[in-house]
Amino acid sequence: MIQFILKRISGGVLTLFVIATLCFFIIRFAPGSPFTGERKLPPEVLRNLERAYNMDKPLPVQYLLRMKGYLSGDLGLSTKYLGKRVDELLFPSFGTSLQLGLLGFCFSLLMGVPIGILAAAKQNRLPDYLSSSAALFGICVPNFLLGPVLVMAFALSLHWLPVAGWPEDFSGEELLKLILPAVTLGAVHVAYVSRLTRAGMLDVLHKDYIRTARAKGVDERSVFLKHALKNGITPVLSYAGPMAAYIFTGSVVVEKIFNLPGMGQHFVDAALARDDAMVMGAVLIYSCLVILFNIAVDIGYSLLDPRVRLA
Amino acid sequence: MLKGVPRLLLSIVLAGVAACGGAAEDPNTLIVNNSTEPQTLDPALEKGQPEYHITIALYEGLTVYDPKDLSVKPGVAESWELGGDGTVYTFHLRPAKWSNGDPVTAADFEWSWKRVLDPALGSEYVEQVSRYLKNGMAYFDGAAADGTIQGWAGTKPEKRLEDAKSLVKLVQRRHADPLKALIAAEKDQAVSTELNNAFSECMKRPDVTLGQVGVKAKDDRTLVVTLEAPTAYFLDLAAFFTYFPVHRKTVETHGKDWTRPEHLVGNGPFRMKTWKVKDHILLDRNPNYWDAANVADLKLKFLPVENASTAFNLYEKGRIHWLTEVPRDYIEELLNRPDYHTGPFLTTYFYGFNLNKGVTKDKRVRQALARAIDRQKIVKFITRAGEIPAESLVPPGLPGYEPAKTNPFDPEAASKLLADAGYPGGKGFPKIEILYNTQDVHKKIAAAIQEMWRQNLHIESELRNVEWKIYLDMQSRMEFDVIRRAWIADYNDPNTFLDMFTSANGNNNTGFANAEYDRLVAGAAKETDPAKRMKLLHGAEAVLMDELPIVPMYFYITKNMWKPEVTGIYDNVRDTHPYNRIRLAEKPGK
Repeated sequence: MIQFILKRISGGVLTLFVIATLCFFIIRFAPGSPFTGERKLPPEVLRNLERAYNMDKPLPVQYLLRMKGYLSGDLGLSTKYLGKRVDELLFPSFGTSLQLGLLGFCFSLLMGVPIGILAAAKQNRLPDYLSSSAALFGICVPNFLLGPVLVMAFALSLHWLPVAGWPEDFSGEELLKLILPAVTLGAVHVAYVSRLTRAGMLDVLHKDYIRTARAKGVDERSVFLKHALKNGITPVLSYAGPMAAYIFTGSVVVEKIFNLPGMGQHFVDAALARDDAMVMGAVLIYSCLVILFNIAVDIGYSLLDPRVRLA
Repeated sequence: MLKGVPRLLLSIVLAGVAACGGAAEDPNTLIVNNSTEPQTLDPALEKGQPEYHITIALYEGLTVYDPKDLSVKPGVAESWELGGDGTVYTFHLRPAKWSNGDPVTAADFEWSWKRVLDPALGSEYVEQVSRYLKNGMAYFDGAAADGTIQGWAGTKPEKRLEDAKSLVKLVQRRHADPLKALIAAEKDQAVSTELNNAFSECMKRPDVTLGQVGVKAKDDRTLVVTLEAPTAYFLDLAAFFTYFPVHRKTVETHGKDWTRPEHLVGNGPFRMKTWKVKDHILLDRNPNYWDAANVADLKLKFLPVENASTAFNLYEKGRIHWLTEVPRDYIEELLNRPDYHTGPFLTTYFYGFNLNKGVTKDKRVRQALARAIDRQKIVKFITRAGEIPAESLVPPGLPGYEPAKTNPFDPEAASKLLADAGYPGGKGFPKIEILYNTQDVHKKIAAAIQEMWRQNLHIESELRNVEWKIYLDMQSRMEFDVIRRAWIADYNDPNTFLDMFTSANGNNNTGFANAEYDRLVAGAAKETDPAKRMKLLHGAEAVLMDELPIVPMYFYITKNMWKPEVTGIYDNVRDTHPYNRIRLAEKPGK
């Protein structure tokens, strides 16, 4: 196990290196400069800014400087937010995205898995059709539509929940602010998770060991939750890894609708502003998460299914 | 200190914890939507409205704007005299204090203004200072040459030719020896040639040191400002953000970190409390402000809500008191509401032509294209908020100035002009492209104009939208036939618009170079008689509106909403709102 983890982590570091390299050169070859604005900068000022951010140096030198920075834990300076370091901008926003993402993630699993099980149990009957339609709806309705509709319904008409914002403390009223964004963020995943659970369960329910269990007279409830679920849920597990990475790094749409200080907005703004250090920082955080969650998923497999061996 | 990866992990955890803190809302807080996160709060580096909404509360210049009509009022300077044929201002400072209690001295202004002139600072608005102060430009150029020569060794080879060319324009006598050394070491022929040119230039230009720049503290309370030429609107400029003073000791101690909330020292009516990026910025009243007795004891909270609908929802729910932008889709309903405030805004939306290539080189073609555009339709059906159709570049409402108008919409005249240019009925006219940056309203306007040209002139055009940074790039490289643009006034004078189309201006971006126009604008810059000056500028605009390197479309309007319990905000032509007189009557409903 330890050996497996170490191996995967070293592979991950290599992957990060490749991603950082690609990312660096892609941004540098994009047209436009981080320093251009509506008002033209005097050329001397522009050259001084380039000098301050090492952008006047030959490209390989810039690349080496950036990589050297990463090795010493320095993510560089933002060119958009003057004088601010990438880590002090990204980490708090990542904290926000992580907390919201955790809620969205739990919401999609806690809703999706039971719906999927129910649909599998009542295959081709009303609950199945209902959940299938709901899932289709969840997949089709984009979050930029779902968010405002939820706001209109629950905040502006019913006045149950706040319209937008991030909680300022842990009081109950402030925490209510998290509900709508978490639901908007998780909705599409509820749909996928329920479909995957249903398919996985149906697949397993036709297996011999389930028939054996039923023949032994195990009651239906135990057949489902004890025998079938463990294997039926593996497709969800492999989906959950990338989904977690995706959800935890924030969504620019949800953040804009609910005005949340998350990482998704930073990433998009940085790309549009050609703020290369910020873009790379965000990409690296996202990559780290994908790698970590994939390792976690593989470990999860081995725990659920003894046939899976880590190597 | 932890190093490397462990430090990264630790800071992630800490950041997560820090994001959880916070306190409940103080009811005595005025909440303003700033529409985005400011890029900096250093007045020397700021770029526009999102920064200015906040720095105008944190700092104060020699003069200030009246919140109602933007007329110039005494700020840190309580009085001033003008001498030396209109080029020497002597400002007498009042006993003002910084937010930490230090006195605001004339030396603070001298140091702050000179700081802006340092090319290494990278101020976007440096010309707002360097062009006006005596020797400002010359000092800036010399210092820029110093920087280029110092950084020479590390510069990538392909940039060297560019640098060498710019050195020709910048160098002064002191650069002779360093240039000799560079020439001796240079292998590239083209670069060598330019460096030699620079060498022969440098002997012609005397050195200009920082001490020769036209701003001098005579004593603690007297600042003498010497201008390059009489500048009718200098008192207006003195209230502009690039002329705000900064606290020298703080800047020197903390370097680029000085604007962090724990360090920032200002001299404005409010002072910094907290700054959480993309969350909020909180200010409270500065008790050390010279006029603190007349400033309401409020907290100001700025939110960076970018989505106009979200901001509007928060406003409707009483979580924001003041919006500076509203969702376009709601405009028709808002026009009838008492808390919606709108009025003229000194900003012009216009189309620029490329005078360097293609059919738009021909003046008659430009006139034809311009006269085929029905501006009334654009403001009525597309922008819809009461924008004013523009037949001049300079918006109305500048005291003493009568804008020079272009010929009105007239499809028949347009058609005839096009025929005169050799394209009767649009025959043989090549397809031209309208370039704009990706945004819904620009797209709709471009499509409308495309259709007007098709109907009125029987010519075809194509729409091309690109992302903002690419748009800027293409604009400065002049890779367009027709381009959508806009310009916001920096000060209350027609010069802020007209100066842009002089042949040497970096923001011209049309290829327009007209000797008569340049002469009139330059003449106005030297003219001390206000009436004569305005006449010269009017003459210049008349040339522009005949030559039409640009076609004005409409003048913007301000779109503010504030709650009835807020008083002391006034609608004005620059959408500039000093906070000194703002009051919050009752506790806002949650």
